Amino acid sequence: MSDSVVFTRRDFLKLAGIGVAAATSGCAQPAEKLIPYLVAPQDILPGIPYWYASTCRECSAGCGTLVKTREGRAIKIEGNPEHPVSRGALCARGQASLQGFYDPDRVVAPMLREGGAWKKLTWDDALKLASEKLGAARTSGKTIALITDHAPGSFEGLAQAWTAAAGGTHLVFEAFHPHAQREANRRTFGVAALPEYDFEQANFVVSFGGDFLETWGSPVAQARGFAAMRARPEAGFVAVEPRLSLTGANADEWVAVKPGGEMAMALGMVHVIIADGLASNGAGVADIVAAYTPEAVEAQTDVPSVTITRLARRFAQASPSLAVPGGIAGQSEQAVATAAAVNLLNWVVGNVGQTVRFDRAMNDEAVSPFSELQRLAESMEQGNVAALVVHGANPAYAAPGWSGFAAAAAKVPFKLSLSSVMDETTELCDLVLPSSHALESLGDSEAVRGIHSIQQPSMQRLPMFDTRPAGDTLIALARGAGFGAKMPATWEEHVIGNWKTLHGRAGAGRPWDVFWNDVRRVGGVWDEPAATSVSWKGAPTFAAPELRGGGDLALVLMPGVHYDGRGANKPWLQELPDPTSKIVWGSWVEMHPQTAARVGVQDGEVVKVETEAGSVELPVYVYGGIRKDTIAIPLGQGHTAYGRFAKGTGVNALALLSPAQDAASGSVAYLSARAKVTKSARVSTVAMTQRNKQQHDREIAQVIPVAALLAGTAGAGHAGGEHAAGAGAEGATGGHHAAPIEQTRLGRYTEPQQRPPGWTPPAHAVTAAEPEMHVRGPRQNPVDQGSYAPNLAKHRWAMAIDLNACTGCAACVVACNAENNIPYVGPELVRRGREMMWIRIERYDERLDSAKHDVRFVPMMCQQCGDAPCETVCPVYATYHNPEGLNAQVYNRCVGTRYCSNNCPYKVRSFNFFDYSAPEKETFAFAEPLNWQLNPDVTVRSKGVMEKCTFCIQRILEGKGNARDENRPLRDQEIQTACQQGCPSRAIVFGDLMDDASQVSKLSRGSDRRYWVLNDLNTKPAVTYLKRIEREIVT
Amino acid sequence: MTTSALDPHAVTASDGHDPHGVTDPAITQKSLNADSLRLISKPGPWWWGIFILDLTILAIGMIAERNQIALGIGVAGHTRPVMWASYVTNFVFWVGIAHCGTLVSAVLFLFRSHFRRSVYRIAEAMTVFGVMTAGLFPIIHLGRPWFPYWLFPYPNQRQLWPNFRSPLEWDVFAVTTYMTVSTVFFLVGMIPDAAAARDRAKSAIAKAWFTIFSMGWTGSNVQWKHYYTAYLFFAALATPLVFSVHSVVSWDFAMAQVPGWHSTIFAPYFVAGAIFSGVAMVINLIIPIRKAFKLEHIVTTDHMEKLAKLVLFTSTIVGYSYLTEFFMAWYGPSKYERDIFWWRATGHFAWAFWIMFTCNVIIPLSLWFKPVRRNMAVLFVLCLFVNVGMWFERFVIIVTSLAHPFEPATWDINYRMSWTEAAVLAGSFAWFLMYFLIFIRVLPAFSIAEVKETLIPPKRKAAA
Repeated sequence: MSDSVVFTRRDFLKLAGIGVAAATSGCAQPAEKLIPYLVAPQDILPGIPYWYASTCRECSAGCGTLVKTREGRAIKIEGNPEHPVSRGALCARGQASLQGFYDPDRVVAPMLREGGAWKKLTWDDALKLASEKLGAARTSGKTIALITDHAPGSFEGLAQAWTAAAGGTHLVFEAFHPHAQREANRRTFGVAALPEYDFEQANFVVSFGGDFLETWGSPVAQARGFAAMRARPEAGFVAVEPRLSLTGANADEWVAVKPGGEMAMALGMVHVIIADGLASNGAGVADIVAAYTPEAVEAQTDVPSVTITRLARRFAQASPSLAVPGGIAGQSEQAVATAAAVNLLNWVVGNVGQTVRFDRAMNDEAVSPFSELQRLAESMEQGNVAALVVHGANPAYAAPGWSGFAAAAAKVPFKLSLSSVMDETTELCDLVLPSSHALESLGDSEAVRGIHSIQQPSMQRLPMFDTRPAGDTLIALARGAGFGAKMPATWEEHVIGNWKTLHGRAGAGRPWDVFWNDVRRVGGVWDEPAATSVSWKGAPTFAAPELRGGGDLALVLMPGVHYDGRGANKPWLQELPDPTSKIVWGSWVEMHPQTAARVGVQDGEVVKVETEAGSVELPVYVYGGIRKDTIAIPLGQGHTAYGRFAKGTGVNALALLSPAQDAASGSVAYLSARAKVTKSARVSTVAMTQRNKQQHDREIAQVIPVAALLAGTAGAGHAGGEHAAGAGAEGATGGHHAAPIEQTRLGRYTEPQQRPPGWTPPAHAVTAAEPEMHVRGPRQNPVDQGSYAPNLAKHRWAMAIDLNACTGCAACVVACNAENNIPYVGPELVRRGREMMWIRIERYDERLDSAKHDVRFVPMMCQQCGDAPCETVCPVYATYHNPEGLNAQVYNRCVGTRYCSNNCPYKVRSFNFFDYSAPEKETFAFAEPLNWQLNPDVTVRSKGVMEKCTFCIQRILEGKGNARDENRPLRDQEIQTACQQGCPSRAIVFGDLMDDASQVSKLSRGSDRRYWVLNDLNTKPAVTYLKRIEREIVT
Repeated sequence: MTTSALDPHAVTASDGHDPHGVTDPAITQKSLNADSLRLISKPGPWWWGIFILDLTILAIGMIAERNQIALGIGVAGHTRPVMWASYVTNFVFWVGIAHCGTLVSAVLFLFRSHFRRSVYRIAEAMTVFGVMTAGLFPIIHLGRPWFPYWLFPYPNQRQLWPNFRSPLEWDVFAVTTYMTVSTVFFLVGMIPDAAAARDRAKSAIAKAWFTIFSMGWTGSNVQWKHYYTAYLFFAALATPLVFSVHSVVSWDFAMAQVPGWHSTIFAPYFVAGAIFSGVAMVINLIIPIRKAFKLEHIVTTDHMEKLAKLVLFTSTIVGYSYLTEFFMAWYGPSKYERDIFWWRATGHFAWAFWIMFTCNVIIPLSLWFKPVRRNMAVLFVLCLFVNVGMWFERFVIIVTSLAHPFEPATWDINYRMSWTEAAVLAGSFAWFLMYFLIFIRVLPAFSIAEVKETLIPPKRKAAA
C-alpha cells in the first residue's frame, strides 16, 4: 500500500471538528500559562487552605469571620463559629466584602488632584505634601476635621488621639446608625445604648418597622435567634409597617400601618394592656397613653381597633414577648418618640431585662449623630476648617444632599482622603493616600461591648495597589505635621499595645504569647456580660410625625443589600436579586397595583417620582405588599463614583429628601416626604430574575398549619385511597388553611388549593391529579429511591432545607457564588435570562393583602434527583449519576446542547452563553484582581458549557480525604456545603443518607414537615424540604 | 383507454399528461428530452442575479455564525428557561421539508400515484438539500460547535461512548441514515436521465460530468429490468424512513418531560406536519420553475392540483392534531399540561400560536375549492403561508413550552430572536437555495424517463 495518501484519524477528527466553524477564530483554545513556585514560600502548602480569624467591617454589627486563604490568597469569608455574634454564619454583605477587597477600581497609589485629573505620587512625596498641608492647617488657627466610619476598637482610639493632638475634631459617620433608638433609650431607661434583642426567648414578636433580618441591628445574630424562635410552633411574629419588607414577609401577620403610625400603634397596644390589667410594669404610665384608645389609634393609623386590642392582649400574655423598634425605613421626624413608644410597650409587659437586654449593648458611643455632620458642614461653609481628612466614610454620598456637606467641602483648602476606593467623598478631595483593606491589615473591633474581636490580615497587601494601613498613615501624617509626639510608633504597635492591656484584664493567667495566639486562633476574647438592669425613667412627648410636600403618596426609603451605599461596588451584591422584587443592578419604586393603575403604569414601566426636594426616574415594581398611599424606593444605589459597578447603576433616592430630621436625636428623617408620581417617557431597563411570583397550584413552597403539625401526622401509616377528591372540597370552603386535620397525610400537601367556590374535580381527573396518594408509603421515600450505588458507594449525599427557618435573605447565594467561581453577567444579560447563580431564592407572593399575607421563600438549587431528567437526555454523558447519588456535571465533556436544562423541571442549570473567564472578552467577569478570589478547587468554566450545583463536591472530596487521612469514618456535619455554612438561620442541612444517625437522614425520613418539590414527576430528589409552619391568626 | 389496469405503468388521464399529445405544446418523445434538458444550459442574467443575491445572503448568515462561534451562543436570543429556540426550530423545519421528497418518490411510487413523475426529481433534490441544511443546525445550536463529533460513536482512547438513551443521539442516527438513503435514491432515480444528458452533451466536461451520474447506463433491457427492481427496493427501503425520521425528531420533544412536549401524539403529528410543509415547499419551488422555463405542459395544472390536495389532506391531519392536543390537555389530569396549552393560545406568545393556526389550518381550508387549487398564483401564496405556519408550529412547540415550565418562578418571556438568529435563518434558506439553483442547471431537474412512460410510444408512420 502506498503512503501517498496519509489521512490519519486524528486529522480527520480535526477537520470534522472544524465543521461549520471553518476559518473562524472562536474555536481556538487560549494558551494556558502555568507558573510554578520557583522559590516556594515557607509555611504555605499548595492545596491546603489556611483560615484566619477576623472581623467583618461591612456594618456596625461586628460579626466574627474566618477568612479562607489558598496559596496566600483570600478566597472566601465565612462566619466564625466561635464568635458570639456570628456563630459561624455571615450575611450576604459580609461574604461579599471579599469583592470590596479585590475591587478592580481600588486606588492604585497615592493620587494628587491637579486640575481635573489625578496624578500618581510616591508615598514619600504624598506624605510630605500632606504633612506640610496639615502642619500649615494646624497652625492656621482653624480646625482640622477627621471623618471616619465606625471602627470600634483600636482605630477609633487612634483617631481620637490623632484629632486631640492635631487640635481638631473627630467625627464618626455612620449613615444608618440608629441614633434615635439610642436617644430614646437614654430618655426612657436612662441608658444611652442599643440593647441586645433576644429573639430566641420571645414567644411573640411585634416589629414596628424594624428590618431585623436585613440591615437593622445585628442581622446575623438576630436571624439566628429568630429561626430558633420560629422552630417553636406557638411563637408568633407580627410586622407593623407600611411596606412589607423581607422581615415582614416572614411574619404571620402584616399590619399595614399608615406611614409614621407605628408610634400610635405601640401606644395603643400599651393602652389596651394597661386597660385590661395585663401590665406587669404599668405603674405611672397609664396617663401617657390615656389618649391612645384603640379607636383613636385606628383613626390615626388605619389599623382596626380590634387588631390593636388582639395584638396587645397576645403581646401581654405571651410573656416574654418582644417589640422591635423601627429601622431606617420608618425613621421619621418623631423617631425618638416612636422608639420610646416601643420601649414603653416592652416595659409594661416586663420584657426589658428578658428579651431586651442592656448587658450586651452595642459599643457605639463614638458614633456621631447626624447633627454633628451638619455642624461640621456649617463650620466648613464658614471657612473654619483648614483641613479635612476622610477615612472609610462616604458622607458626600450617604448623607442627604441637604446636609450641604459636598458643597461645604469645596470651601476647605485641603482635603485628604484615606479611602481605598474613589468614592464620592474622595472625588471631592485634593489628595488620596489609599488605605489597605480590612482583609490585608491588622485591626480589631469591639462592636458589642465586651466582645473584643481581632481583625487579622489574612494575606499580604495586594501588590497592584500601593496602600498602607490607615493607622500608619495617620501616625506618619501626625509626625510629619509635627503633632505626632504622643502617637504610637506604628499602627501595629498601637493595636498590640491595646491587646496587651486587654491581656492584663482578660488573659486568665495565660502568658502573652499564648493569649495572643489564642486570640488570633479563636478570633478574640469575650468578656462575661455584666448584668445591667434598667428602669423606666419617663417618656418624651409623643406626637405623630408629619410628612412634607404636596404629593399624595408617602415616600418610604428602605435600606437593602447595598446598605448605605457601600455594597454597590460589589458585583455579587449588585447581581443578588432583591428579596422582594427580584430586581438586580438598579433601583425601582414599589407601588401598589391600584396606585399603579391610577398613575397609569404597568410593572416595569418608568415613572418620575417628584418631591419638594427633587425628582428621580425609575422603573415601577408593582407590589401588593405596600399600602395604596405609599411608595417605596431602595437606598444605596445611584452612585456618581465608587467604581465601575456602582457608578451610574440605579438612582440615589436621597435626592428626594428635603431637610427634615428628628429633633431629639438629630437623625435624618428618611420617612418625611410625600411624593408625586407621573408616568415617564423613558424606556425601562429593569433586570429581574423572577418575573412570576405566583405558584399556580404547583405547590413548590408548602406550608403546614400549626394545628396539623401539633396533631401529628395521623394519616401517616395509611396514606392511601381514602382520600377522595379532598383538595377540591377543601378549596370550596374558601377559608385559608382551614383544612380538616384528618385530611392531612404524610407527604401530602396540607394546604388547600386555591380554587373557585363550587369547584369540583372533573370526573375524568381520577388519578394523576392526586399522584401522592398512590405512592409514598414509608418505604417509598424518594430519597431512598433512584439510581445510586449502595453497593459501590459508602455515601448518598442529600440535603434538607427547612423553609420554616429560611428567611429569604440570600446569604447562601453569595456563599455559593464565592465558593463555586460563579461569574456575574451584568444587567443586560440578566435581562436576557443569563444569570449564572446555582442557587436562587424563589419568592412566592401567595397573598399580599394586609393582615393575612402569605409570602413563601424556597431556596432552589440542583435537587440531585435520583432519577434525573437531565441525565438521560445528554447525548455525550456530560451529566451523569455518580455512585454517591450526585448528578455530576463534566464540564469538559459538555458540548452545549442545553437539552439537560430544558428537561430539568427545577431549571437549576446555568449555561455559559459567553466567555466569562477569558480576559480578552468583553464579558470577562473576573477583572484583575477579582480573579484572585477564584477558588482553585473549582474549575472556571468556559463558554458553551452547562454548569450547576454540585453539592460543593470539592468540599465533599476534601472531607472524605481528611477522614481517610485520619483513618476514621466521616462525621456528620463535617462536610458543609457553602450555602449551608453561610446560612444565618441554619435552614440548610447537608449530609449522608446512608448514615442513619445523620441530621439529614432524620429530617428526610422522619420529619413531619417533609416534602419534595414537584415530587409527582418522580424525579426522586435528594433535597427534602420541610414545610413552613403556618400560624393561624389567633383572634 | 386501452392499457390494462394491471400494468404498473398504466396511464390514465388523471395522471396529468395527455397521452395523445394534444397538449399545447404537444409533448413528444423528442420535445420532452429537449424541454427537460433545456434547463442545463448556460445561465442567463436572471439566474446569475438570483444566485449572487443568494450568495450574499449566505455570506451574511456565515458572518453571523462566525460571530456566534467567536463570542458564544449568547449572541442568539436563548435564555433560561428557553434554551432551545430558532435553531432547533430551523432544524425541525428543514427536516420536515426534507420529508416530502421521499414521500413523493417512494411512497407515491409504491401507491402508483403517477402524478409524481413530473415532480419527484425536484422533490428529491429538495430532500437532499433540505437534510443538508437541517444537519447544520444541531451543530450551529451547540454551545461548543467544534465538538459535534462527540455525538458519534467512534472508538477513542478515552473509551467514551455517546449516551444511547438520549433522543439527540437517536437524531444523529436518524438524520444520517435518512441523508444516506435519500441521496442514494436521488442518484439512482437520475441514472437514465443523466445518461440522456450525457448523450446530448456537447462539451467534454459536461460529458464527463454526466458520465459520473449515469453510471455506465446504456439503456439495455437488462439494465432497465434491474433498474426498476432496484428502484422498487429503494422505494420500499425509503418508505419506513419517511415515518421514522420525523418520529425520531419529534421524540426530541416527546421524550422530554416538559409540559407541551411530553405527548404520544407527537410522532404522527410531526410526520403529517413534515409532509404538509414539504409538499408546500415543492409547490413553492415548482411553480416558479415551470413558469420560468415554460414547462407547464410537463408539470401540468392537474399535477399541481394533486399536490394541492395533498396539502389539504395533511393540513386536516395537522389541524386535527392541534385540536387533539388541546382536548387532551383539558381532558387529561395534568395541570401543567392544561396550563401550558391555555397559555400557548392566550399568553405572551399567542401571536405565534395564532399565526401557526391560521396558516396551517384556516388558510388551507380554501383548498377545498377547485379554482383555488388550479390557480398557480393563489396556490403559490397559500403554500408560502403554509411554510410560515409550519415554521411557527415548531417555534410555538419549542419556545412556548420552554418558556412556561413546571417551576412558576422560572417562567419568563424574555426570549427575543436576535439578529444573529435571523441572519442564520436567512442564511439557511440561502444555503438551501444555492444548492437548488446549481442543481437545476447541472442535473436533469425533471424526470425524462418516467414522464416518457406516460407518452404513447412513437410508431412508425404507415406507408402512404
